[in-house]
Amino acid sequence: MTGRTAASRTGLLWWVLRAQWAWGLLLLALLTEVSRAAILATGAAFLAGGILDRAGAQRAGLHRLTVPFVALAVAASAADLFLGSGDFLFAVSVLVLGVQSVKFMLPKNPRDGWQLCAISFLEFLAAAGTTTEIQFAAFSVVYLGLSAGGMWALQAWQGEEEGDAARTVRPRFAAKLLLLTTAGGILLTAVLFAATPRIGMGQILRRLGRADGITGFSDTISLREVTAVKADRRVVARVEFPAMPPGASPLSFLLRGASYPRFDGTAWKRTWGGRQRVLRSGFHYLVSPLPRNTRLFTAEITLEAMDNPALFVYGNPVQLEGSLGEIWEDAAGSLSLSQPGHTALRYRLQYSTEPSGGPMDRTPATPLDQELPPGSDDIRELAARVTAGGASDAEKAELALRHFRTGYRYTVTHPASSIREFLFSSRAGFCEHYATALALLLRASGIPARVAAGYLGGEWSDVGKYLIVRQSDAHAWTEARIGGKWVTLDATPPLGEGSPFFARTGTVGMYLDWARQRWNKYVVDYSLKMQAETVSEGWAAFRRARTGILRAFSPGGDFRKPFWLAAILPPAVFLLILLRRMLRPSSVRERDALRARGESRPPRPYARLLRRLAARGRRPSSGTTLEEMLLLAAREKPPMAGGISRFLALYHRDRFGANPLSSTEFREASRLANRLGREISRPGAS
Amino acid sequence: MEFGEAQSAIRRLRDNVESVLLGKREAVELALSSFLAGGHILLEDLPGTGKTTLARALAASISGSFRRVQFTSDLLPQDVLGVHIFDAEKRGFTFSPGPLFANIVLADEINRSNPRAQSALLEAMSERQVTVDNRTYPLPDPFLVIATQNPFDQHGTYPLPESQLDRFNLRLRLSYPDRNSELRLIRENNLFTTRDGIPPVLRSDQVLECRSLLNRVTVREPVVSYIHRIVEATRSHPAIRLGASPRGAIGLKSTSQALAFLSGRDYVVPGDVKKTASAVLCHRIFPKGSSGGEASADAAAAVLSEILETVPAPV
Repeated sequence: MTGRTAASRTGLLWWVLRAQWAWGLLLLALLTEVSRAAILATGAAFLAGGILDRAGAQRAGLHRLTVPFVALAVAASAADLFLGSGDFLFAVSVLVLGVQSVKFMLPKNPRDGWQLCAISFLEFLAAAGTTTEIQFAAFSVVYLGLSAGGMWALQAWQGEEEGDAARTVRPRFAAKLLLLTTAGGILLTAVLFAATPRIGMGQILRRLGRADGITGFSDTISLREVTAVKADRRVVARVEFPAMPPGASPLSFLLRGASYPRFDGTAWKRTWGGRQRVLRSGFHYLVSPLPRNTRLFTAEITLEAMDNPALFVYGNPVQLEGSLGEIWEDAAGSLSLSQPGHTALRYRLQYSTEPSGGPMDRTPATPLDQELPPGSDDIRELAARVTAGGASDAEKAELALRHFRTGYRYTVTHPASSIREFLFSSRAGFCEHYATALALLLRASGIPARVAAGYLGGEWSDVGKYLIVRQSDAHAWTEARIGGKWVTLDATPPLGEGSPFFARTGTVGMYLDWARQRWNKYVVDYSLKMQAETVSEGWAAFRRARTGILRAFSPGGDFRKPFWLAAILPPAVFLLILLRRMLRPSSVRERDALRARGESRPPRPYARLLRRLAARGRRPSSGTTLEEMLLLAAREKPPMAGGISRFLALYHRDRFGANPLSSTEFREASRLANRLGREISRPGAS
Repeated sequence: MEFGEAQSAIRRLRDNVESVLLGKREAVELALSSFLAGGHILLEDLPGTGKTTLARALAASISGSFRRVQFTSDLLPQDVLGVHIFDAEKRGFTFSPGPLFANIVLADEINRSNPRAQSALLEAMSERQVTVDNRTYPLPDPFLVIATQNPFDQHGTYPLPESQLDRFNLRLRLSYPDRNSELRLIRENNLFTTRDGIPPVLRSDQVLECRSLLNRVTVREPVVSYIHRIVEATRSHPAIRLGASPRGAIGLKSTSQALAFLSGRDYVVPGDVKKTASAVLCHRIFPKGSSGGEASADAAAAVLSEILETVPAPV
């Protein structure tokens, strides 16, 4: 161990660096889709390397030992490819990670550090392509990259101490870099966790295999524990409303996934029979005939990846547009895709809010919709009592709905375990209890009814003007066939901010989400059509702005807004410019000054020597030439004089002579510059 | 003459001059640079500090002709330039050249003469020719005027106006020699000692060759712009009434080239410019509120050194 024995501080820094690298890998592994086997493999490589390093084995011998590690990494990647994710990109990244971890443990030369940087970037690309946690991928790459940079710096430092002056690093630079990565990494983690409540412990536990897969939406609705679902802040969909129903709040919109007609006493199930292909032409799908005299509204829905084929819609869908493959419509009027799951999807939905012969209305009630579980006499009794005064189906339904307004309590922590308990004894439950109970009451009083599930409302992003639908917005409600139409009835009391799982995303989180939405919209899913729309939207925005301005300056118009804008904007811009100028690093300022004088920036070795001289107070004024500075330094350290005169001859010829130096001469000049710089930086007289 | 050969010859010349002007290496180098660059020199200092010695040594070293003109208040232009004399044998006028017709002319105490004689000399300096009675006579080449003036006594002098000071490329001050040099001077000399016995090292035609080589000394763009920045700074400095002229800038470049040549380089570095700047520019800038003379010269020197400190040097 070369540098270790010489300087134990360097050894400590090495270990800090390695711990950091491990932490970065862990983050990357937990928050991206790299399989567990791969984590284990890289972890094993890391540990083994650490132990061997600790044991103080010879570098040469250790170097030979790296081969089994590489084999281990290859095995891990193969395992991942065939048993784990099955994704080639993952497998390759696992292999690379494994090999790099080995290299990191047993670095041979400073170039390894740069390789690590490059690999971290590739890792980022792999992670960014697959993970939903894009900030985390970005964060990880920065973290790993900086760690790698720190490693390179340390290595170069060590090399310098050993007398290899080919690559040099300023003293303490490596330590500073490490400190920066540690502090910055912790800070960034804290900020990300604070800003994005989406990343919870649950996800990490899930990755570790300690928690069941949580889906807010499934093929069955059972009255089981939903706390986990409600606490899950993962985004399910982001919806933009180019044309929204007037006067409606998007927070009350029901995003319907499917309806469940079959109830077996404990759970609702979908019926898969009678599926029909939806009429399509290219990327356009005609779900129901275009209705007359009804207004159509538009929603642009981006569904996140899901392992359920359900296609979520608002109201009565009329038209769909998007690259969705075949769409199927089942007997209960629910839409689903051909494949069992999907990656992120984007589609445009045109829907009407009135029942208008859509799939929901087209599908008649079946006997299934009136079936009660056996032994439901008490429910029939209750239904008869509740709907006693109702003459028509609609009135009966209204009475049944009203029944749940009083005496029932919404809870997700102590819900009833069965529907009878909910109706007759505890009267406490969540949306699925309410929906089930209402459906059963309606069925008992002869009205066909079923339960539908999806998401209610969401969080409105004022930043990007779109609706963020999360798993925690999962909801179940009732649909009843009244007057030949399926009507949506929701017995669950509106909770809003009273919900125990109500959470509001911070401003930073909103902007992050907005950035992600824009990225998905304009980069991932960009199409020619959207381009055309952007142009027309821009034109519309321009017209809006123009009318706004005209109104503001017309007599009696509202002057205040433009006035404030005019008052605030110039100082703000001025401040911004000032700040930029102040914050511009001195090197940039220097470069600008040089450019203004029509000079080129001195090459790196000279610039570094200048910096070092200036740092030691050898540049009293800007008029001091490098020659003067060096001669001043030579006066204090006479042994340097020989090197200085040789360097000056080369330097002057390079910078001011007719022809540039040859490459060997320039190398000599660089070497001399570095040596002189080090001697100058060295404290004390020689 | 090859570059290296010329450089070694010039260095011999420098050593030659320096051997008589002890401990004044910098001044000797500057004077030689100006001589090579073709710029006239104004020596300004106390009597007996070696002004004449420098001029004589320079002249002796290049085996050229040397003349001396003592400027007094009754000196007439024809005393300097020469006159037409009636030649009875040829039955016509022939030109009898004045003391100006020499390779090196020492114009001693130039500020003692009246402006007429001064301007006659200065015209000859810039035109390198003499016009007497409508006839023009070219001056020998190389031609160098070394003028001296004593700035300390103002009585009965005619200070050179700004425009005429500008004709001098260099103003040098030969201060007292340093201790060791002076000790040696005292030890080795007596009042009879003359310094004329130094051997010539260059012929005057070789000097001309050296001059043509000077043009091959590279001045890269950063250095050109550095010179420009310095000159411009003298013009915009708040304490300056009149800044350096473009002629001063050209002189600064040429002298720097010559100094670089003398130092054995074929390119100018910013250090050359810095070394020559005060000698070349000091007498061309005129501080506000001072009426010339010693105080003014000191103020100009202070301003110039401040400018050299603040103007960023190329690196």
